Amino acid sequence: MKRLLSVLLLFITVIFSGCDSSHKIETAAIIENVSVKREHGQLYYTFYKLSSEEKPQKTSIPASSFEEACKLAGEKYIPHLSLAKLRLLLVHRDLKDSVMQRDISYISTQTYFSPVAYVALCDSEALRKTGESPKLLSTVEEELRLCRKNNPSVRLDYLSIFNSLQRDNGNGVEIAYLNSENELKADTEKIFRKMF
Amino acid sequence: MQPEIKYSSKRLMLTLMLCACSVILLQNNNVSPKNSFTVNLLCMLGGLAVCAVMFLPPVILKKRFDTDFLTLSGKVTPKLKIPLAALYALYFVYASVYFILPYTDMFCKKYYPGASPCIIGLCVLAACVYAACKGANIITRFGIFLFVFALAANFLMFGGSIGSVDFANSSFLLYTDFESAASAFIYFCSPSFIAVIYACLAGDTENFRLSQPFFALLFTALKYALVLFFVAFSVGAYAQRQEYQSFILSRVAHFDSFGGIESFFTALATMSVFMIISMFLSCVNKSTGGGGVKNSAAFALIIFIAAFMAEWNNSVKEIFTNDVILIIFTAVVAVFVPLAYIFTGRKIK
Repeated sequence: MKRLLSVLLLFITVIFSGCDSSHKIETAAIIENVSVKREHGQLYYTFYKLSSEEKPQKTSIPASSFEEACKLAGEKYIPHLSLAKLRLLLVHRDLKDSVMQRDISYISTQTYFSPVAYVALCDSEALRKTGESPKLLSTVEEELRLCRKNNPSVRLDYLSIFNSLQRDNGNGVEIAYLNSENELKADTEKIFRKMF
Repeated sequence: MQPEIKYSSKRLMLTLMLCACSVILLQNNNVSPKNSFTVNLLCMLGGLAVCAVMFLPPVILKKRFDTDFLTLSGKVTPKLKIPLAALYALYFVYASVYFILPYTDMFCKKYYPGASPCIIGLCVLAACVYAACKGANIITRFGIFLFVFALAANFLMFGGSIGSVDFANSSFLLYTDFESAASAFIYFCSPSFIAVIYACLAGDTENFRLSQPFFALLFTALKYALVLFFVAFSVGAYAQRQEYQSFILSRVAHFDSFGGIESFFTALATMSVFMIISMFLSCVNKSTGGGGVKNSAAFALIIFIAAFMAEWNNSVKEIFTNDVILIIFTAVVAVFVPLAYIFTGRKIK
């Protein structure tokens, strides 16, 4: 009798916890990539949702930092926001010294961000293109991997960029730069430690 | 009360080894980046050498009398049974809270933010009460499963971190900060709690070999060295930005686009803490002479109340998570008290 009761309890727990998880996954807004650019003096953080649609849903949030953008997104713009699956942070080239380093510093303090997600600089055209199709995200990742293959000193993820910036003694850190002169292509660009 | 069935000493040692290995899973800024990797490694070896010393009295008792300290003291000094039972029960309650606090904290901060630490602690304790009622023999059988799971989880964690290794992140040179080195050394002495479990349960085992504790500590050292290596060279300075550095290692580990090894890590930490507290409750049952649900549940309730108080009051938490108190207490119950019986060995015979 006791065993039967235990099995029943276990079964009920599994069923209910499973239903709860599936409900959460259905309603969660899973963000795959985020891009940052400045327009008319205001920073805009654009969150691209994971979806099966041809053009991913995006939400642009005016904020002074990524920390503020995440807070605003969760509270105001994107209910059930999930950043655990963030794969790529694209930063406009003009923001490489100020915004990018500050945002990486913030990300390094947060558990839910994957330390091995990619970070890259890009020009305005590349920024626009990457938001057009979910397939382009994979193309960008392939380009970034190819870039590292050709240039092993390039740093692609939060973890390696943060660590390299921490020990930077003026030589700079090479990171990926996506440009779209003819087609989307990853090059390298040096950044120098500014803050922390 | 469980009937006294002798089980393999190897199995108990395997369980103790897994308990010792789990200490590093709950590591939270105990190993300072101010020390180089080599210095931290030396601190770890020093700490485990202390553990080996603490193992000597129970091993001598096992070798000389083929029994454990609790059985021996019950036979030789029946008048001291209650004070000794109280001392050991107090130690196991303290040590249980010492482990349950960082576990619930890690679970609620890193894996499932928003969950209540008290609820998580209560669930773990409920499972531990059930396991403790079944006895140490059954828990050590669970240890075999956990060993296989730990191998798989560690393979994923270390294998997935190889790609992130960067030797510029730390150094093999000997630079150190004395205070941090002392703190790391004290931290690495904390796995000596396994000597106390051995002092309580060794009498129920058979086929003991002197090499068994040696191999258990050697394997523990290997596991610690690997975690230290990957935290220093794969995670680097990033590790100091957050709590629970071993957990971050599981976040860093990935195979191409496959990641999410933190679930395996949390499962391993959960099962390890479950096993440690179950073993503690088994020892409490043995020291107090009870073995039923009521006895285990009563002590689990005391552990829960202590953990609950620690969650609400930081000064209580500081007492329960103090490495020095644990080590001094461990030295008393694993070394000094059993040594008194060893030095009066002729009278015992």
